[in-house]
This record gives sequence, C-alpha cells and structure tokens, in this order.
Amino acid sequence: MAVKAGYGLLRRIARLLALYARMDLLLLTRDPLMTAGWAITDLVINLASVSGLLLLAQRFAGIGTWSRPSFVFMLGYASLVEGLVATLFGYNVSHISRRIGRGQLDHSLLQPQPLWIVLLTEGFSPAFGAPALLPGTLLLIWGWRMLPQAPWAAFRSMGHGCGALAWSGLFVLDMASSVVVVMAFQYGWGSLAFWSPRASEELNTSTHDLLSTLKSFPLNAMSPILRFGLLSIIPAGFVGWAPVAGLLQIGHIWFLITPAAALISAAAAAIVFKAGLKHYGKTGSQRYSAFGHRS
Amino acid sequence: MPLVFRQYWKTMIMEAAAAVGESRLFLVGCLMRFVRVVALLSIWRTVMVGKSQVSGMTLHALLTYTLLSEICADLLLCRTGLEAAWFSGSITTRFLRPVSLFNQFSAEMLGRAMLSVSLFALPLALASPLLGISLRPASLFGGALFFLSLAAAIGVGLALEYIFVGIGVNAGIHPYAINGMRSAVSVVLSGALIPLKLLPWGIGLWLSWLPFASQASAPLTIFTGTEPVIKPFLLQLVWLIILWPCARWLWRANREKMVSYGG
Amino acid sequence: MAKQDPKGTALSDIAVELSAVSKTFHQRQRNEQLSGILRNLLRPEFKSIPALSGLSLAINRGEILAYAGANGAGKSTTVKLCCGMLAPDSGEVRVLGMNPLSDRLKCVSRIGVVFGQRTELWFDHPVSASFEWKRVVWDIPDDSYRVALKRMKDLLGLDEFFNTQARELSLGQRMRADLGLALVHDPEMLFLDEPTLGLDVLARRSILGFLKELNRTRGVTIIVTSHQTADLEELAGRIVLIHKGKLAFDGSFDALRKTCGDTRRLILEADAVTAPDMSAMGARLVSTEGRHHEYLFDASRNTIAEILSEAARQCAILDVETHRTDIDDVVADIYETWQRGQHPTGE
Repeated sequence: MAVKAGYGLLRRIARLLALYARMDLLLLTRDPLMTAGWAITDLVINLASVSGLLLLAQRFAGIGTWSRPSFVFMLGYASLVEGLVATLFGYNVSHISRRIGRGQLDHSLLQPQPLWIVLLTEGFSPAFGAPALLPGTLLLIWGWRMLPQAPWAAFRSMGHGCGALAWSGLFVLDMASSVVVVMAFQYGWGSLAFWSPRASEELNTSTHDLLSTLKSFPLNAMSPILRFGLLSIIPAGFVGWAPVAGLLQIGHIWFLITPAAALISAAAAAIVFKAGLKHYGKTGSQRYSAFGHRS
Repeated sequence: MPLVFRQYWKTMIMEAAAAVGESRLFLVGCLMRFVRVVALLSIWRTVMVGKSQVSGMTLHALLTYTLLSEICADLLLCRTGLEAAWFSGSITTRFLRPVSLFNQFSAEMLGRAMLSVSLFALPLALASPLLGISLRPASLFGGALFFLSLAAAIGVGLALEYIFVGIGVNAGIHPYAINGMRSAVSVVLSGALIPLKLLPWGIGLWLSWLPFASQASAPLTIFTGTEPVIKPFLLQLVWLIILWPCARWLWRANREKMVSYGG
Repeated sequence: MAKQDPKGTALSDIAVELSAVSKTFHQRQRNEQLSGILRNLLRPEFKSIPALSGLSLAINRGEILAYAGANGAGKSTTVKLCCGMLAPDSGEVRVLGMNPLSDRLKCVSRIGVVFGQRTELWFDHPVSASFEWKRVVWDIPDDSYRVALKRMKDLLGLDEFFNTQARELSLGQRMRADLGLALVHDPEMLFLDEPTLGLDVLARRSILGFLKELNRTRGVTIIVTSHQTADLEELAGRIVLIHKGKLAFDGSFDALRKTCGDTRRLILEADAVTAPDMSAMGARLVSTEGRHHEYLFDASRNTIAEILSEAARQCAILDVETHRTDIDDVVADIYETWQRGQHPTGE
C-alpha cells in the first residue's frame, strides 16, 4: 500500500516536472530574439560570477593552501550547484521571499496539492536554466584535468574501479546536499518575509548574492569564528569548500559533512518556514503584486 | 528651498521610510553585507601572506579599498528602480508626475542609499579600526578628490543604467535579463569586488579604460592612492560627456516602446 | 456515522457556514516625518483592525449570494477564510462540510475562486497553456477536461483569444479566461471577489449571464462580492451586507429596500404648471420643470393609488411614471447612515 502510494506520488511529481519543463521551453522559444538574449545573458552572468575569483587564482597561483587545479575544481563544483539551483528552483521558487512579500503565495495555496510539491516542481526550468549549468561543468572538467592525480586517489584502497564508483556516488550525494543547503538557507532567511513582507521582499536577493560571492572561498584561511559562521548561519562553506575538500581529501574534512549539514539545515528551514506559514494564516498578505511571478 | 530640492527630499524620505516601515528585519540585509565584507578581507589577508605588495598594492591599501567599496556600495554600483518600473508597466504613471523621470528614479535611489549609509555604511566605517583597517586617504588631495570622483561615479552609473534599459527596450530583451547582465558585468569590470590592478595578464589595465571602471575603480584608487589620481578622474569626466548624450538619445528614441510595455 | 458524498465529505444542504468568526489584523502606524522612521525602528506602534467580529452566516447549496459592504468591511477576508488562505482568530468556518484550512487540498479541488484584481493566468503564456497547467495540477481526467473546456469555450467565447498571451488580453477577455479557468475542474462552488471590476457594460452583461446560466444548469453555489450593487441584484436572490465585520443585513433585495422605507420616485405630468401639494400624503416635491413634477414618497406608508387619487383631486393628470429607488442609491444611503454611526434597522 505504502509502496503504491509512494509510486503514485513519484509519478505525480514526474508529471508535474514534465509540465513545467514544457512550459519553460514554450516560454523560452516564443521569440527567437528573446531566446538568444536570455542564453547570452545567462552565460555572461554565470561567467562573470566566477571570473573574478578565477582570475585571482590565476594571479596568485591558487588561494592560500588551495592549488590552482583544486581551486578551479571547487569553483566549478560551486558554480554547478548554483546552476542546479537555478534550473530546479527557478521562477522565484528559490527566491521565496519575493513570492511571500508580493502576496503571491496565495496562488500556490489555491492549488489542490501540498505546498512542498508546488515548490518542488513549479520552478523546474531546464530550458532557462541550461546556460547556468555550462560554466560550472566546464570549470569542473578543466579543474579535473589539471589535478595531478585522479580525484578518487584517496579511495584507491578500495580498488581502482570501486574507488572511482564510490567517489562518484559521493560526488552526486555531495552535490545534491549542497543544493539542499542552498535552498534551506534561502528558505530559512526568506521566511522572514512572512513577518515583514515589504522589508524582506528582496532578502533572498541578498542571501543569494552572498552565497554566490562566498561559495568558493577557501574557509581554512579564515578565522575560526568566521569559519564557524560560514558553516552555520550562512552556510557558504557547504556550497564549495567543505564538499570539495572532502572529495579531494584536502585537510581533515569528514567526507559526509555536507550531507549531514543538508539534513540539519533542511530541518531548521522547515521549522522556520512552517512557523512563517502559520503566521501567514493569521495575517494573510496585505500586499499583492503580480510582478515576477509566472512571467 | 527650491521646488526640485523639496521634491527630491520628500521622495527620498518616502523611499527610505518604506523600507523600514514595517519591521526591523531589514537589518538582516546589513548582517549579510557585513559577513560578505569580512570574508573578503580575510581572503586578501590570505593571498597576501608573505608579500609586501602585489602590482603596487600593499595589504593595507587592499583592505582599505575593499572596505571602502562596501561602505560606498549603494553609490558605486548605483541602481534605480527603472527596469522594475518598466517591466511592471508602472512607468506609465511616472509620466503623470510633475517631476522628470530621471529625478524620480535617482531620488528614490538616493533615499535607499541614505538609509543604507546611515544604518550600515557609517557604523561600518566607525568600526573599521576593530577590523584592523585605517580609512585614511593616501593623500589629502586624493581624499578631497575622492568625493568629486564619487559624484562622477554616480553620474556614470546612472547614465549606464539608462543606456542598458534603453538598449533592452529597443532590442526587446527582458528587463530581468538586462538587470542581471548589467549587475554581473559591472561587479567584475568595475573593480568593485577585486581591484583591477590585481587581475592577471594586464587585463586590469585595459579594463580601467572602460566606463565600468569609472563606477568603482576610479574613486577607490583615488582614495587609496594606488594610481596617479588625475587619470581616473579625467576618464570619469570623459565618460560622463560621452554617456549622457547617448542615454538621452536612447531614452527619447525608445520612450513610446517603454511606456507601452507591460500593458 | 454522518452521511457522506462521493468525495468523502459530509453531505449537507449548507455549502458554507461561518459560526461566530472573528478576525483582527494589526497595522503598523507611522507618521510621514523622518523622525517617525527612527521612532518606528525603536518602538513600533500597532493599531488593531477588526476585519470580522463574530460573524455567523450560512449559505445553502445552489444559492447565489451577494456579499456586499463598504471598502474594508471584511468581504475579501471572508473569501480568503473560506479558501483556506487565512485562519480565523476564533469561530469556525466550514465549506462543503470541510474546514478549509485543515482540509485545504480537498477543499480547493472542489471550489473555484476568482479575484477580480489578480489573475490565475500565466502572464507570458497563451491562455491555452494555463488551462493545460490546470488540467495537470488539478489532476482532471482527460474526458471531463475535454467536456468542461468545450463548455467554457462555448459559453465564454474563449476561442477568439485562446492562443493569445495572457498579458495581451483586454480586461474583459482576461476575466472571461479567469472564470473559465476557475470552472474547468467543475467545482461545486464559486467564490467571486469583484468579478466585474473595471469591465464595460457588455462584458459585465456577458459575465452575469454566464454565471446565472451556470447556477441554473449546474447548480453551482456562487458567492459574489462587488461594489456594483445593481450587478448583484441582477445575479442574486439574497444579499448579505456586512459592516465593520458584523452582519448588518441578510435578506432579499426587496427587504433591503424596505429598510430604507421603500422610497419610490413619482413623476407626474399635469395640466397645470403649479405642482399639486401632496405633503399630507407623505410625498415630497423634489423638482418641477414645466408641467412635469417629481416627488419622492415612502411606498410602505402610502400606496401609489392613494397618492394618485389625491393628485387627481387637485388637477388633471396627463401621464404618470413611477420608479423604485436604484439599489445602488439604497446601499449608498445605508453606508452613509453607518458612517454617521446609526443603523438603518435601529440596532
């Protein structure tokens, strides 16, 4: 019975994802000029977001104890996480403070499905998000090729094939965990818009920009207090530094630290979001703007 | 007080008050900015270990540059609400007010900046000794010229804003795309995040001639004295002379399209 | 065990029931001065605004209810409570036998909602894409969807703009598309918050006609709020007026008129320029133009026959016109009375 229900739920989610992917493609292709405009823009934005630190790593032959190849690998990893967030949670699903602040959550509450399904599926935008995946993927490949040895070198004791497989599994797990950490961070802070819709409407722009800037900073170079801050209330360390340090065995990082952080931050964000939703039930939204939603 | 100043002042107050009108939670944004700047400062301390200077920049100059960039962030990479008003169609009603559009948008921007300066930038400047940074200009002349350069940077930034939106309207590019592209390009090319001098292969030298450098790099290098002060300031003036007529022309040429967008 | 309908909820003749529902909002207060910004930061001030105060109301299945009140009376709050968007501070809300908050998913799959000031359409997509979206998200079976869509297209004339982008629709087209979208899953009840806002007379007539047809043929319960009381009268048999969150009137439109004394307008064309004096009959002369004399009188106190016979006693009557007071005027009078702090029914 439970298996059947689980299968039904997965089918429903897949159906919704297919629907939103089609709508995303329709939106992108309605005008060739706009399609080209978006693609170029996204590419420029994503390249710009990594070029500063990349050039700095080139200039200083790495950052601190991070060599140039491992730093490029980390930059690629962090950019890919950012690209995945943009692809899976577009249309202001990752910028939830905007939807809340603009009173647009009502549109989601009128749908006959749990809010988590709405938020999990409505932002799926493979067409618009594709350019955001490109720079990260390229950097990752480039960093990989520059590494002096295979990234799964530390796993060789398991045998070459098994080591590579285990490393790949860990890579995917870490990548998914980093996406969860980013979303939890966005929702944890973005939920403040339930209490102050006007002042916090653009809060997720600040939080997103902050993570985007700090995503590939090597935290081992920072003071313990700052490092603690960047691994807790602003978990930028889990977007690039901690998972890649674990994957490349740089320093003494527990290789499952990012999945553990994902679990904890998701639970914390869920508590805050639920409290916010309860508050929303009491106050509702006193403002409404169609701006930026479904467009 | 002349009418235009009164209009400016009232609009600034309205905009500043709107942001703090409901809650103290807007201070969270300040916290984010503080963490960002502290992290950046720590990166400089890391990469400069064992180096007395890089490309003529000492660690002290680098830290001052970064802190000042954050303190003046709202003015260096200034953003009005132009593209949002264009996208939502609310720009139409702006034409009904007895104030020029330029004045409306820039007054709102300054209102937001005023709030940000008083609640974040000033406290950060006062706290600079705690971060181990001295905010003294490299020279008295540089310090005085910094304020003129800052005003010129705002002027260049506003002109670029109008030009980007004008191009977007003309080419039918989505306002958000315009916004995103401009923000991304500006941060890297302006030197607001990383001083242009630190970029490899002499890229920074080439970038310093672009108008984006006049938005941030110029006033910051003038203050920190990492370049002869006259060249960046003169470049700012040249860009002001070139960009504003372009902005005005684009604005006039696209006015009808701009008003009809968004219904 | 309570009787249940096929969808698993209690079956009852009551579609919506509000029992002693209260809802208060808290508004932040601040003056326009710079000093106010700082004071507000340190010691924010709040003002409590009661949106609903112990409101009790029952709406039968298949009924069309006009829900009216001045701005800020609590109309939209009631609709949001019924859709599960808001929770009441106290009291209970039941919609189709369900608690719309705890049974939100079941509830919203059986109701349709249209907010006149916002759209459920996806702005940058053609109208057809929003319908397709609704089909998947509401999980509407293909056959039912096809039938419902055809019905909506026929009744609302959606074909002419079905492939046009939503943001390019006129207000009337947008409202027709929104109505179709709200109804394509065949809901049992429909909440309409200001559905005729900003529409021209033809678009209004078309929408009102559609809603009446929908209620007549499919028995859909409709709750409609509007400031156009004449539209409400054309549509509904029962009107509920709320004032400061309290039920101020619940009854027919005729009964509503009578609360203001059933005032009528009488226009006499007489053979004399001097208007007959009928003050003894309670008819007040409003204007005189040539031989045309206009009076206002209370039909609940004096019949028109009595007034006319008194007029005929004083002069020869060439023609007579009588009009009931416009319902908008009646409601405006009531709002005005409330503003003065009185209640038309003497409460």
